[in-house]
Amino acid sequence: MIEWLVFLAVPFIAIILDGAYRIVVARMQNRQGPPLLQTFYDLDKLWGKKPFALQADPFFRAAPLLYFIATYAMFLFVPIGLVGFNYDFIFLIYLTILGSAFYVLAGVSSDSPYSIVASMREMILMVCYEITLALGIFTMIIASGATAFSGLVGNPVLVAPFAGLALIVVVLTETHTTPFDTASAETEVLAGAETEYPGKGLFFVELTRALIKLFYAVLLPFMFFGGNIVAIVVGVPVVYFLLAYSKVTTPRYRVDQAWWVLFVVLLVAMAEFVRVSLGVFV
Amino acid sequence: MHDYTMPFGPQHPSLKEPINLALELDGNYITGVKMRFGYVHRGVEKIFEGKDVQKVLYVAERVCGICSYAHSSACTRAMEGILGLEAPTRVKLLRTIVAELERLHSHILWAGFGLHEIGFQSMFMLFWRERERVLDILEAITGGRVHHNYNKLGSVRYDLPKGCEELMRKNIAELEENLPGLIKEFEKNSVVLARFKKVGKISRKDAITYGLVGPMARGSGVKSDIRKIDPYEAYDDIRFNEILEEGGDAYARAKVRLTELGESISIIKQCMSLLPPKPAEKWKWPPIKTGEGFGRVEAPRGEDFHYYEIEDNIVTRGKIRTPTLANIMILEKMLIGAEIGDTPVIVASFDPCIGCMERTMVIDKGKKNWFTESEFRRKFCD
Repeated sequence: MIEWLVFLAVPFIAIILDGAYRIVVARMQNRQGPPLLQTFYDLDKLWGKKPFALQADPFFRAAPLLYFIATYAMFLFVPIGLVGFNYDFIFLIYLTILGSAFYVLAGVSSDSPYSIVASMREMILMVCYEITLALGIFTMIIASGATAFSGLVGNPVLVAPFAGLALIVVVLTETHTTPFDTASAETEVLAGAETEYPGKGLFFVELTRALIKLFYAVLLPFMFFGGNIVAIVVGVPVVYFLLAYSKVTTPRYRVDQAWWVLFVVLLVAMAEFVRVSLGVFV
Repeated sequence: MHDYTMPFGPQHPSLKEPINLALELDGNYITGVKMRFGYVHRGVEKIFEGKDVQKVLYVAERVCGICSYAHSSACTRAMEGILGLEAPTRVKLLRTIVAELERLHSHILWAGFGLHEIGFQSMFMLFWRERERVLDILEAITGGRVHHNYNKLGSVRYDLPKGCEELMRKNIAELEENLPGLIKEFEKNSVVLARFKKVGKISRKDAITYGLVGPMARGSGVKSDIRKIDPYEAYDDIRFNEILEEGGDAYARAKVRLTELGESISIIKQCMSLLPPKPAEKWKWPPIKTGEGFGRVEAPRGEDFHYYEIEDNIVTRGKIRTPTLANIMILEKMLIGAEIGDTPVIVASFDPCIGCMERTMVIDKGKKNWFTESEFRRKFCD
């Protein structure tokens, strides 16, 4: 029962943590920053807007909602296995790819050239970072000797440190944080894939962005320290701080440069996966 | 990916002022550019006509909102040239101080903005915090943060007020303490280097052919500093270096601007040490009977050129050639072949001042509004 209540509270936790994240970024940048509940106010305003879209394309209308559902569903597996089953991590990897795919769909189904360019960039980067994410999770699971998230024990990050580093880079890309926020670079492609979205469509995209931040902030300590609840409670603010630190201290790569960096990270993750699965130096 | 066109402006997060570039894309690369200007044209040169010399001095300053004092000094230099008037030493030094403060704030503004283009928000905030100190000094000296209205013919409107020198010393010491750290971050950050190096290359030959001015030319190793070529105000008596870089890319131009920050601070300090005591002079506005003349100064973006014809203290014709107008011609050549992501960096590396640049507007009445070179010759030259 309590688990389902936590599951329902996830969006609210994500919104509050997103507000805290914005304040931390602002203070690092010598700014005052918005109030803690600013993300909530933004979402409230977007929800109150009348539906207005120039395009009647069904994909254009459905994509933000599907993006939200695919992302929200990831919390069924991590950190509390509400619907845990054997090899559920494969299902989770499908969900992460599905979320990104719906984001790309949102951009491609808009008629704006900015959205199309942003979607193209997201697709180019997805080739690298989604595979790295899958390899990182596989490596951690193998290092822990488990067959599902519920069986994750010990400290897999100590066995496979390079997979941990690769996962951190993937998290920066997934959360659209500099230096890998090429797909939503405001000075190049305006708002990226969601440029054309008004009101409720934008509401779902913004909420999903906050959810994604929370999900990966939970996933990292969860994978690194084998589902230890103390590690998660301590780790979530640490990951948020890491994201803020990266956002504040780096500019963004151009898409080809970002691709090369992510490709190198992918190679590292592959090597780590082979090493851990063959049991070399473990 | 099929070919398509992406609009860049007139309203765009990476543009301070409105221009429209229709980028024709092939995949991720630009194959053609259609440029459209004229959004902020106000006909300043026409406003000059029929106005007193006194009023024109103030209108000239309104050409630009960043390098406003450069326009005012170019205008003053032209008028003083017609009169054959030379300002006293103290006035010259004060004008030099204000001009260099303006260069400081303009280059700091650019540095913040250039880094904002590649998503470095924090450097934008930190550079602009330093800019505030410069603006505070400007406000203390002239009473204005954007438009200073500081010049009179042969004099300045206000001498240094009480307590101003202490404020200048304090703020400049803070700038000297804070700026090197920020500049070092620019030079060392690997992502910044990846985004700025080898982007928007201009060869030395192109820089000369297109007649580039200011940091755009100096970034390609072409000497173009009016303060050295044709010294005015107090620049004769002051030691400073003309900053030249050989790279010719966006990074070299940024480096020129950032190095000039240090030079400007050094010039201001020299001027302050050279200031003679305040003279007790009575000043009267000198009327200009008739004449024509030009004045040029080194604005933060390059050579700023003003030309005036005056009859009975009334300006009958004014012409301005601003630095961005001289530089903008090469924009199309630089953009073709670049990646979309490089567009903001290339445009920012110009340090474009569109308000300055809008000197003409073509009103289309359904006729052909452009000429090729041969057509132009046939129609106007032969």
